[in-house]
Amino acid sequence: MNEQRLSGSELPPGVRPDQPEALLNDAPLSAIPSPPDSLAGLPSETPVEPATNGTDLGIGFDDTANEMPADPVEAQDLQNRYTDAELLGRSFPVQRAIHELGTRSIKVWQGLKAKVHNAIDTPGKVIRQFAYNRAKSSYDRVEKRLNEAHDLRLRQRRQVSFDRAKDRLDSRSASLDERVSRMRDRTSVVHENAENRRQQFTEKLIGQRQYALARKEVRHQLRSDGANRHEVKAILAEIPNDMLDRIGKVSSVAETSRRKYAEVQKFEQKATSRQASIAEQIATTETRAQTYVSTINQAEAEIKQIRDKTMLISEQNAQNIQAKLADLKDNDPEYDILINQLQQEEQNLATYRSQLTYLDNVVANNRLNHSRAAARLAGLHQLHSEHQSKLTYAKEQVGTHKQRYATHKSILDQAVNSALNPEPERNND
Amino acid sequence: MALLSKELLKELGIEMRDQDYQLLEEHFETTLRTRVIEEIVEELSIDQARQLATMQQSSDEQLLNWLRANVLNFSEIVSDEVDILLGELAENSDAFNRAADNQSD
Repeated sequence: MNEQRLSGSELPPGVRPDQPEALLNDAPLSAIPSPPDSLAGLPSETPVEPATNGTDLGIGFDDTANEMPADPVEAQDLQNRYTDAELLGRSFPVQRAIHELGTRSIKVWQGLKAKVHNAIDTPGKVIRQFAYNRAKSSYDRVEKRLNEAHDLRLRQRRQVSFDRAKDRLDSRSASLDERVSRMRDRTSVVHENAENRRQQFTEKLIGQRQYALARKEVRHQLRSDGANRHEVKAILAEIPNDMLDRIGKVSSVAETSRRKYAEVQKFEQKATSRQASIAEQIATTETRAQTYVSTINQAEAEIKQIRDKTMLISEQNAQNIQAKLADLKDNDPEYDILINQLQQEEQNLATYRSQLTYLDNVVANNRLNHSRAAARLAGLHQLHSEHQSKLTYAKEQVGTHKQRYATHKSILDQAVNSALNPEPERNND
Repeated sequence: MALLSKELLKELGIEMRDQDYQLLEEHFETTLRTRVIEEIVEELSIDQARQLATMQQSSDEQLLNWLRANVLNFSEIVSDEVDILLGELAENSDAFNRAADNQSD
């Protein structure tokens, strides 16, 4: 299959990507509950300041860079390069570069214009400032003399001079303020124009996006209906601009809903995973706590066994041996045997005491670990409870946004369907 | 010429540091590539997809020629995805500046 190059003439009439304003006729979005943005009333193309302002100043500024080339061949070439778009990003920047160059030129030109005007105004400002300073100095002097006069007649005479000085100062102050304000306004207008252009450029890109979304939706639908590329192109050309505009707006809303739905789904997955992790930690900690309890119980049983039985027997044995020894003489052959037995019992008792100490430590350590585990469990249960609220909220959000996306997708499908299946014109005859 | 430029961002009123710009540019181009590929995949039949899978060793030019010949509306897909992504950038220009302000605070 050979790739056919698109030319500007094959695109829908008046539906060129570089003319989004042609697509953005205000179409009501009544079917959508609350569209996130409104693109109604988009401004027209970036205005170009008239070049006569620059020529009036005798400055040869060229502000035609924002417009298409005068040469029709070159203009067509630029358009073809854009619409062909054979290689990712190859042609698009051409259009954008032209726009950027034009906008920058205008900005520089306006900045220079303001500077030139202000430079021209500067001598006037200097003269007015000088006159104001003199008037102020005179006013201060006369005011001082007036305040020093205590006699009524003298004061009346000086009041006349003071009034004259005040009038002069007010007049010169107003003149100076007017000049300074004019110079300041020129500079601020440049900033305001730059902001307006930024706004227009932003809206232009947003408009182009909606148009592209519309084309994409229609293309998807036609593809699923088995249309070939020529049919897609031809049908796209037949769809009225207001329909494409509506599809673009609805698609933009649906795309936002889809993303939000995906976002809350991801959040819900994370919350579920986190909740499972907390539950697992609870189970592990509970098992560990049970092990501590079991160890404590076992150690306490051993302590009881040693303390209440084994040691008592051993102590009783030792007492019996000592009693026998008391009845024997040192040279009795049984004496040494009993001494050995006594030593053995005392050694056993020492071992039991040592075991008791060890087991007491085991009990103490495990009680400590158990209390820590219990505290951790309490914290984990608290966390689990808090997370359950988050998880419940996340699930509700998923439900809400799933429904919202489904609604917007349905409206989008209807808009595409309406564009592809227009109602036949009724014959009034 | 890169798709995204600092000049374009300035025109949208987005000011950012060089390192942030590089991250954005990378993200922009990766996102664009992903979306274009997703669209292309949607356009392909199973046989075409299999054929494309055998072309891993092919040059960029060969791949491009194959795509032109086999993908319906390839040029429109690319052009539209560029427009869609730039529009998203424009829509979120205020958010970019807020994020940049927060970082600089």
